[in-house]
Amino acid sequence: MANVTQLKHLEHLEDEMLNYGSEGCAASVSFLEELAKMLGHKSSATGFLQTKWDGAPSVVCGTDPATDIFFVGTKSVFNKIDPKLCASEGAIDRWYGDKPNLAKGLKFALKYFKQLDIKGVVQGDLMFTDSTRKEEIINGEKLYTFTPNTITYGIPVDHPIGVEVGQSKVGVVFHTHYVGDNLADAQAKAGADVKRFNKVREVAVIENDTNINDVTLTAQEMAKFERHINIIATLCGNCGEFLDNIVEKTGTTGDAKWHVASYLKQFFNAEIREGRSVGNARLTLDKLIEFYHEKMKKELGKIKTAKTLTLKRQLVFDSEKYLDENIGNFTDLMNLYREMQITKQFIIDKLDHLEKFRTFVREEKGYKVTTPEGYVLHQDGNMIKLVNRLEFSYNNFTVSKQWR
Amino acid sequence: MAKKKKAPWEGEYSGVAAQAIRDIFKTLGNEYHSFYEDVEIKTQNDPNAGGKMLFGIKVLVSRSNRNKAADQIREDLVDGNFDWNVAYPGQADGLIITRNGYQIDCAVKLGTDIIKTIRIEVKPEAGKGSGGGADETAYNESAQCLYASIAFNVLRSELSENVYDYDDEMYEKASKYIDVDVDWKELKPGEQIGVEWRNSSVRGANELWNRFGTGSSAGEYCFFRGGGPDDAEIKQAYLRCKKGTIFNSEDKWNPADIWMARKTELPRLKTGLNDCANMESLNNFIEKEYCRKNMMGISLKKITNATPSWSVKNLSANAERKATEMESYGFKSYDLIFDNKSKKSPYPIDVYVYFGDGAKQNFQARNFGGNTTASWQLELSGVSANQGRIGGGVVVKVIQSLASVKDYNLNVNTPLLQNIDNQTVWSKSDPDNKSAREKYTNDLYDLLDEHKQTIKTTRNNKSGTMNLIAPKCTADDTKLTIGQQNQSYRYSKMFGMHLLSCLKAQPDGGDRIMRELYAYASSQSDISGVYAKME
Repeated sequence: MANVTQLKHLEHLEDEMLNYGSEGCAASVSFLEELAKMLGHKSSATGFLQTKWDGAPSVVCGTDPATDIFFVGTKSVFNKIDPKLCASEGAIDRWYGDKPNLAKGLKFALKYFKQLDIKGVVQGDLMFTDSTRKEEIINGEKLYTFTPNTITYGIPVDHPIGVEVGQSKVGVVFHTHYVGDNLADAQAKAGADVKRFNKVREVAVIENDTNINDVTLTAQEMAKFERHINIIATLCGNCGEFLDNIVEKTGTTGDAKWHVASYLKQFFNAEIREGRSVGNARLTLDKLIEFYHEKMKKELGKIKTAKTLTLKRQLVFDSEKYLDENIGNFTDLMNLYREMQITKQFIIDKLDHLEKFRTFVREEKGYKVTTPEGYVLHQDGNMIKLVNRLEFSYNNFTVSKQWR
Repeated sequence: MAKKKKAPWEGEYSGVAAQAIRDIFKTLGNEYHSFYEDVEIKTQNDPNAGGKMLFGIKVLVSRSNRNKAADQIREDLVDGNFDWNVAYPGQADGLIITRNGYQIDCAVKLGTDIIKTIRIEVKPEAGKGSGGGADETAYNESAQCLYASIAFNVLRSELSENVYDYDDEMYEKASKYIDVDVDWKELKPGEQIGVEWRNSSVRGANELWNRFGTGSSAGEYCFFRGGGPDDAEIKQAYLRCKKGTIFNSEDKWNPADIWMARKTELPRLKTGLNDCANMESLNNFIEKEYCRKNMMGISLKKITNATPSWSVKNLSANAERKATEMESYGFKSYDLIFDNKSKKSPYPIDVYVYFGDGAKQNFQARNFGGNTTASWQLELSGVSANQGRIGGGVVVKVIQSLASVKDYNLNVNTPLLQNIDNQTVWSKSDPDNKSAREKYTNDLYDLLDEHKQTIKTTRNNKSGTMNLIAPKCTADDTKLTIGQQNQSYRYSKMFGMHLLSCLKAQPDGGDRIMRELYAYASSQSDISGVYAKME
């Protein structure tokens, strides 16, 4: 569970059990239970959702609490040594002159965001500038489009947001604000109070709150969702000890580097790259074994001395033995992973309907409709991301980046 | 986010007890105490409970600074003249602060007939220094005494570096002429002294023998280090005579590490020292006895050359030469760097001010207290830290002493000389001090901007301007950078700028101030005592 001081990498709901074992699994259940409360519009719900935008570059900006001077920068503004805050285009060139696209984005931010009169410090993703925004007709609809990263976003030109986008010089989604008396110790908090910003024609500030109140589940759907959560909770109980054992054996150095446990996340990512989801648990397990064999074959091939080779072969042998002895546990783990993905996708499908923006990925022959990148669920200062990995992660791994 | 840390004892004490603890911590935090490694609270007792002890503090220092720290703490507490500080009942000499070894007790009057103790223990920090209680410096300096005594009182000749060891009887005989604060048996080869220092001691002993052991002055000499007159009559005379002077450290008056004295003259020397009532009489006495070869203070450095270097400082006969040397000094130039482009530490906290044209003829001015303590000081380059530093308070005193010099019109209209308060600057420099930080950043920026020009270009033909604002950047970029620096940087750089402002504000461009600071730092002020430097 990412509980962040400064915003860093967010984790997928289903990966928490691989990161933190039984504790991570319990946290995922807790997140899902919170979602159930939110979907049931329960007053006890304390969580909230934000839409993830596939923007770039990420910009930190605002008024430096120590000097009251407006600045822009990247996450490097939080550096303990030599924080990089820019109050001028010269400073942007100084720090980021070797990254022209980033520097260009920061210069737009410097020029226009100052007018927003941002109180405090916020972080957001740039979505477009007037030179990257296009006007296109897609599927018969006239849209303003922009492709900051993998996803192409489109908004009808006559939609109120579209009009705003069309008039602006730069578009941005602010998703985080920072609290603290100085930048070095500032803490990230979800959301940014964009309603208090000045309205500026040149800046399209795209809101990212996901209004879960607009999602209506039938009683049957709600019951189905809760049933899934119960299954996950039960599987978590069954797998808890094994998951902890897996976490213990995971690592990138020493003996752990040779253990199958260290290759689980890699394996799931590889499956997504191939466009495959966890279906039949036993079949997926076979693929894991195959994946592990291939990896080890490569690693063992790099070894030059007979003595080391013998030692490492023994480790691989032990790991294979571990796999054999834990076929049941691994199968349960696959089932749990699949169950989490299904449950998560159930919610994502509901949330996707709320979005006003069209989302596409570029293909050789034009645009293909895709889903939004995903959502971030916040609960008591913890965050988790809900992403249709098969869709977005596949896109992310395969579509070339224009801006990074 | 960082919150103001409350001292752990706050809230536990009130009234006089709280004030006393606060005063003591303030005293421990002054600029002369920068050699502390750490300060810890050891005991916290309820003021209303029985028992004598109210509060215990442990001051951790390196072994080599333990004695100095205990001396300094006691002295500053006495100077504090605190209202709560009273004499212990029945204490014969009415002492309000007592020192027993490395333990200092302060008597605190909490009410009628209620006197409790705040105890400060000066402890060596674990892992620092060597030996089971004595520090490396003590062993090395004491070894010099022992080897000199072998030359003077046993062999009555030079020592050979090739003779590694002597008979026990010879050591024993030599030891009768030394008074040092370590066990002399540990000074023998293979004990606490390394080969380099052993060789240094032999060379030093030979130098002393050749200067004082032969000819008309020949005779038995005793050697002292942390014992005998060094720790008694000389120290007492200094403490008695320093009142009203700028001295805050015995080293600045006389940095002698060991003293040698003619054995037959010892009683008279002790009486003479006890009779000295002021610095002038003390200095005259020390000089007279030096010239008669009766008592000599020697400042030691490890001798690495076969022939040691020997120079005598502060002799009246050399006054003219010293004056000529001093005349060649002044405020020559300074190095002020804002951004050194280093990845690890790009923004230096210091400023270098040069009193001579040589590359090492400078003071480094910076905070020596890390990011927790306000301890801005000047350190004389090329000299060991303990000898060559001057605390910020003393810097001001030394400069202010020029106000009474007839032919010098000291311009006091500069922040450094306008009752600047160290703790106030420290507090304002805190990046978390919301009410002060913005103005502080702007002020510091303005001062850096004012002083960015290199004033004189004689040194190494250097000239030019400090790059305060990076090319194409703005003042706001620099202010943002200053705003993100830690408290130590902001405090240190501000004092550095105040020093430059003070120097530049003087009618002679700061030359006289630099000469005075150099003289004081190198223990060559007009009221420093005669000593020989052997290295």
